[in-house]
Amino acid sequence: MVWAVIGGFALIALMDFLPLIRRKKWRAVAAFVCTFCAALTLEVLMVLNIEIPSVMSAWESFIRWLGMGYAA
Amino acid sequence: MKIDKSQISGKQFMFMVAFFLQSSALLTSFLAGITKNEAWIPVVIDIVLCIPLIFLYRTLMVMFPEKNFLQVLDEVYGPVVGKIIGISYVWFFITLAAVNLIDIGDFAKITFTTETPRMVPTLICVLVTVWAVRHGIKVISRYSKLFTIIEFIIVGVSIVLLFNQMDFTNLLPVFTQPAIKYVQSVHIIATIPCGELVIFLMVTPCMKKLTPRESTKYWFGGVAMGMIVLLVVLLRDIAVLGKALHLFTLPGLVALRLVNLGEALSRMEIIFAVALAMLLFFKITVLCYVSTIAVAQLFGTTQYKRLAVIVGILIMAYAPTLYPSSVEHGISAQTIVPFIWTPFQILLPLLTYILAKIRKLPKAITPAVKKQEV
Repeated sequence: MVWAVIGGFALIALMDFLPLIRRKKWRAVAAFVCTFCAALTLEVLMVLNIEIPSVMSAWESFIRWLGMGYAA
Repeated sequence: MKIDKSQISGKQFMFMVAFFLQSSALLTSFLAGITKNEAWIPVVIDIVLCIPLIFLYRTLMVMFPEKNFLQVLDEVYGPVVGKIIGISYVWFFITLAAVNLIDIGDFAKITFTTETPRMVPTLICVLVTVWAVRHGIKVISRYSKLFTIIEFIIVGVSIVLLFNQMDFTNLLPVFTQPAIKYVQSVHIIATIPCGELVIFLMVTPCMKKLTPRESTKYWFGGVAMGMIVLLVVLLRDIAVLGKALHLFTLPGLVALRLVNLGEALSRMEIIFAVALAMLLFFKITVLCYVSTIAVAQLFGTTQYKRLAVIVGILIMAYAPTLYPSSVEHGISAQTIVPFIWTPFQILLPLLTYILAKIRKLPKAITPAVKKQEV
């Protein structure tokens, strides 16, 4: 499954990343690399069944810490 | 810097706003769980309360007609603070898209594809969305008018078919809940469907030149169409389901299941399911487009089409990490999400407007500067 994910991401890179490099669009390359790394990391972690901490839980703790939020 | 060169008319914009709001018809269960058969009251209150908020968005659009919201932030707060706030908005847009992607996954699981893994309808949705984003705002907005009309027809037909099952005494009595429940419901509607319209500030540069009067007309026209459909759907569901409304995840679907006019006209819920899938798909497309434009803007590039696929995949990978189950998703939407969204939808746009006024922005471009820019 991990290899399928990596294969899929390689396909996306082939489709969209190489044309950016060929045309020397360096800002777009930077944007692509950042987004690509974040997406690949999340997908691989998920495929490996590694628990990813939820951003919304962190927000919930913060909001409750501020004394806000409605009762469930 | 104009990222997407395509342009849309004021009317197309209006239908996009209307269609975007209509997609929240799925959220009636959020409200039903809080104010039960009085859920229509907060919607009526919000129709009035959202007028200043929509006017704020419209004013920001009129003040900076050539800039998307991230560019406005850069101009008002300066490049450093503007970029920091811009990053938080990119997170907001991506999270909003991810949350709606969870909704379409859950919806497909309940209605169409009960045996299929959730990832399949989600992946199909992302792929089609990305295809639409790559073709620009013009393609996205093109079908919004047709779909808004279809949605009106579906809602109208459903009311006619369900009329014999409606009991309007279900709408009464009123104000029997504690006051905090109404405040909570009003807050949810103000942030979840209405405040989400802040994303349309990202499409400002793609609008054909509008006068302030036209901007007001199209913003409020779209909001009126969207909110009326939301209210009518809620009134229909309450009138049909009564006190049982809050027991269902998708009250609209259950209400339409009750249509029974002979053998031919029964099990009509599939029409509602198709309409909702259409609405949610459109909402995700707009959110994915806005997220892609925001990422491109943050890095100062116009190559947004090459970023569309990877942003779509990021949204898809990020969505399952947000909530462990749809129950927790629902509870969070009722209790916490309105507080997280408020700074992005109300406080920051308001602060931006006040600072722009204090700093007398946008500055008029002198002929010398204009010449230099050319």
